[in-house]
Amino acid sequence: MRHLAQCLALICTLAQTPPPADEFTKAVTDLASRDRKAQDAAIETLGRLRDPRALVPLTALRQGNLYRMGERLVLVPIEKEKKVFLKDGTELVPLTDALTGKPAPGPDGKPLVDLSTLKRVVATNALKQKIAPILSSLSLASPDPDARKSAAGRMGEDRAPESIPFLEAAMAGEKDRWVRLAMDEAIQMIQLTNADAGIREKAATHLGDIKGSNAVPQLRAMVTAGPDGKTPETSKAVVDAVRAAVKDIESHEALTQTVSTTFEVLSLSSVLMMIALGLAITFGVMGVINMAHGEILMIGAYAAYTVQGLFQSLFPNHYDWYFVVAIPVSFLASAAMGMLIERTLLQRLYGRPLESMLATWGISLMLQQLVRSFYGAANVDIKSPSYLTGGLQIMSGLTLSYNRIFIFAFSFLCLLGLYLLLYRSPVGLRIRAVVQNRSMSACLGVATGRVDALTFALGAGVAGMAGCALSQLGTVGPGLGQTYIVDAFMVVVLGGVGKLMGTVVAAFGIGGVNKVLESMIGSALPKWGPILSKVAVLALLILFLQKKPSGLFAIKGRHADA
Amino acid sequence: MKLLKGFGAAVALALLASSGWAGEQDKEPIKVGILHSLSGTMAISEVSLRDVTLMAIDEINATGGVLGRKVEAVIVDPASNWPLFAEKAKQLLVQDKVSVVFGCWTSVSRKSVLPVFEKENGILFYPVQYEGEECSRSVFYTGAAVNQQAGPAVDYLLSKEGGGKKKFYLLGTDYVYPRTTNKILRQQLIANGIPETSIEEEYTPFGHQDYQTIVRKIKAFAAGGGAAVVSTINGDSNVPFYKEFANQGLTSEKCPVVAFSVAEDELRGMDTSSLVGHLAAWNYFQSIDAPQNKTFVKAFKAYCEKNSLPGGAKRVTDDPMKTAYVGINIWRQACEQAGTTNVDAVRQAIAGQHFLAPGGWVQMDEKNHHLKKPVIIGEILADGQFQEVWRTKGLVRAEPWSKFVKDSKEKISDWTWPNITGNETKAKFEVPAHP
Repeated sequence: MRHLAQCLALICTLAQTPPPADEFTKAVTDLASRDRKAQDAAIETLGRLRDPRALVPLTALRQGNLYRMGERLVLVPIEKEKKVFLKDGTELVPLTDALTGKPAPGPDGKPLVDLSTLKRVVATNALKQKIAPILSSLSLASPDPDARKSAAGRMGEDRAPESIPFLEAAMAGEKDRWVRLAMDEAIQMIQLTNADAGIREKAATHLGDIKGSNAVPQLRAMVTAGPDGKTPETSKAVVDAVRAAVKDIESHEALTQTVSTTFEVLSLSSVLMMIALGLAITFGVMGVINMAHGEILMIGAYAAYTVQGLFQSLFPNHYDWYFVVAIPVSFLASAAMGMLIERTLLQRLYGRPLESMLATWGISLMLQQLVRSFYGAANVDIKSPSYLTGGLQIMSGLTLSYNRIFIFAFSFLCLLGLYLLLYRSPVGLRIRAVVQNRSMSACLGVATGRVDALTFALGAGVAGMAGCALSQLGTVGPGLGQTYIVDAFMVVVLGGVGKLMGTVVAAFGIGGVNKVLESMIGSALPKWGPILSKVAVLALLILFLQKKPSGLFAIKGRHADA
Repeated sequence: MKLLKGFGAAVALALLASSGWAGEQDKEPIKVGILHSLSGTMAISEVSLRDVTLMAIDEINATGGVLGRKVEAVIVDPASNWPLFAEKAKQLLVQDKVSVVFGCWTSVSRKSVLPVFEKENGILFYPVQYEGEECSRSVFYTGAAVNQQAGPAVDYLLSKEGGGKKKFYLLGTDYVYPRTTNKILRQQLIANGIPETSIEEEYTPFGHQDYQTIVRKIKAFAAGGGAAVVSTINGDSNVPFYKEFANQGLTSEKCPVVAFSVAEDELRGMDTSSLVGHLAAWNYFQSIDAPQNKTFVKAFKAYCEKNSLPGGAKRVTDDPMKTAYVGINIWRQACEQAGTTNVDAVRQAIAGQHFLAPGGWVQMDEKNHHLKKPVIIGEILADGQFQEVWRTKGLVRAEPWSKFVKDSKEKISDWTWPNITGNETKAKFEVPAHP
């Protein structure tokens, strides 16, 4: 989408130099022709011209957002935010001209046009297949690195020797290291089919050097013996080079796998820590089994959704900033809800764990239904800001996604904040005092009621921020809380009551065991990896709690309630 | 004579009175049941079906009702609770005495109400795609069986237009629909010459959120091209899966994901940017360019706006909603043909009904209680709509008992006379001709 917009901008600049009313314009106009033959001829012309301006109309034709308004070719925006829906069900859209890239008002001069009055230009599959190679060669010059990379990958898979000059030309001007690598890999993959054994050998060796993992199946096929016992590759030197290359790439893949498993462990563990921190405070510190913890996460996520909606309508140009605002807003929203629950209900139930558990469970159901009637039962759509989409490629074949890196960093920031608050501030001192001995603190003049309310609000607020962060990873809907509540309790119970450190260690323990088991079981029993690893983690947890019922880090000493 | 005349007049009067009384009886509305979860986890999907069914009832009442009587909906909320589905179904049939019930989403809810409908002799219209291996006398399945959705989707991926895929990753949530579907698909792939080694199968628990490891495996699986993912991932796990897929740098061009449970209504709640270009197989898309579809879509949006339902005019239509709409309209046609709402008569009349659905003509099969319909593959667009890329020629007949499942091969599904009822000497209705 971004890529298309950038292309549009490119077209705009190109369009300022007056385009000759030429073959190109005619070909683009003919794309929408009802005559199959004229359409075919148009594609052929565009393929021959290799004019970068063809990227926009061709992409639109393939994506299905190229429309005919009368005789004019227009683009309908593919973002639903740009559409306007009228009360009677009519859909209005702003249009851009497919040739010039300028806004195209409707026949009545209004900027918004009723979609049902337009006719979609339909591309048959046969036509789309003709478009695909032209699009890939045009995409090599796209401003979006991902588009360039995938275009190169596609050309490598097609193995058409005529692509090589285009790839080489593009590679010479390419600045992005990973795109250049993808182009190099594509060239070598094509060269593997060359008739000259010397070139094949060189290509194989080079693929081994650049760790071209995409070429592995092709390389393997070259040296796998067929039913007659002969390998498809006849030259001995090439076979040796191919075998060496496969070995090289495989040892590199083992390294990639280790690094990525480590990242997966860190990421899953930080998610677990994020969702459990709030609960560690309410459950760990206050002893309330808060079954509504998941729904407080959900409130945080919905607060982020609300902020996103406000940004969409009020500051559409600064849309990406919504997430920065959403984090404190979701903290406040959830903290307020936590405070409300504590003041109205829970403060009457301290010391009665069973009742407070049932009461909070009731609250969780009420909150779910409240969200359902206010926002609708369907999930809501939270768009990741552009800085949290995509990933950072750190080595060949390994991309770490930005949203997971963000959550990892964010969870540790939250942890640090909580640590400073609990252990380095006067409020934290009071909270800890109340935890250790409530009646003694009350005797010494600590307003335990107020401390309780504040602590609960703090726990809820942290949960709200977790909900906001998780909206970047998963679904936001009324059932969001249910997805995370069990994991949150697992972490807190394992970590032991009343210690932040316990939560951290437990989150990393569970995350690590889960991921390592998933990989191990997954390679032995492919169908069962994620399921059995979850079962195994629960079983291990139960066994562990048999040994140490109060978790990893129990508070020692003469605890008031013990 | 005079006496006789008087007697005649009295008889006529009595007849008139009785017919008048009967007429008044007839004017009472016909009750139909709506059995969809409006709360709990399944509300996310089922609320839209209630909405579209109510809209259809409004339309039916505005165009003369059924047999000259108004239709009145009795709405119950089984709250995503499977045993409660059976209780509520019983309440609808026994207490409210509804003529027909439209409802259920999950297979387990359908299995839960099945004995109730069979014992109390009711009719259930079930509007959602499912794994097959069932063919009840009491149920009309307007959603797709496996061969009307997943099967053709795999055929498409194998075909030249679909990219001639050679490696398949079957990924699903761990419950009956994905497991049965994948069992069938595996047989189908092997029959098409795909070796076992090129088929991976993997399941995740319900609500699974962490797809890092799986996507990494898919990435390795897809290296070198020619791979596709067949996804039967359910519900909330879809967003984390597609996000991870896109963020690790996999694209729909390199390795398309074809899904069977992602429709327009689900896309409404997703950030679609990571889904663009991936595929879904259905029997209907909102984007189908047909006049009756434009009317249907517009009417639904206007209905939501008028009744201030959440989402208003931004609501969308999708395949299960279309099938729910087809179900109630087919029931209406069958009542008109049978001249009654009597369950036994209507059940026979439903077989063979044609209906001009929003997506084009469909027909209720003469024998197996499933709808015949086209199968369409669509590509996901950024606005949450689909672009049609392929469709089957003509209508596809459902095979509720799959030929790829060992014990089902021999089973027949035929509810035509005399299987349907024992005390008649010939079939009640001719199969209607295509209008």
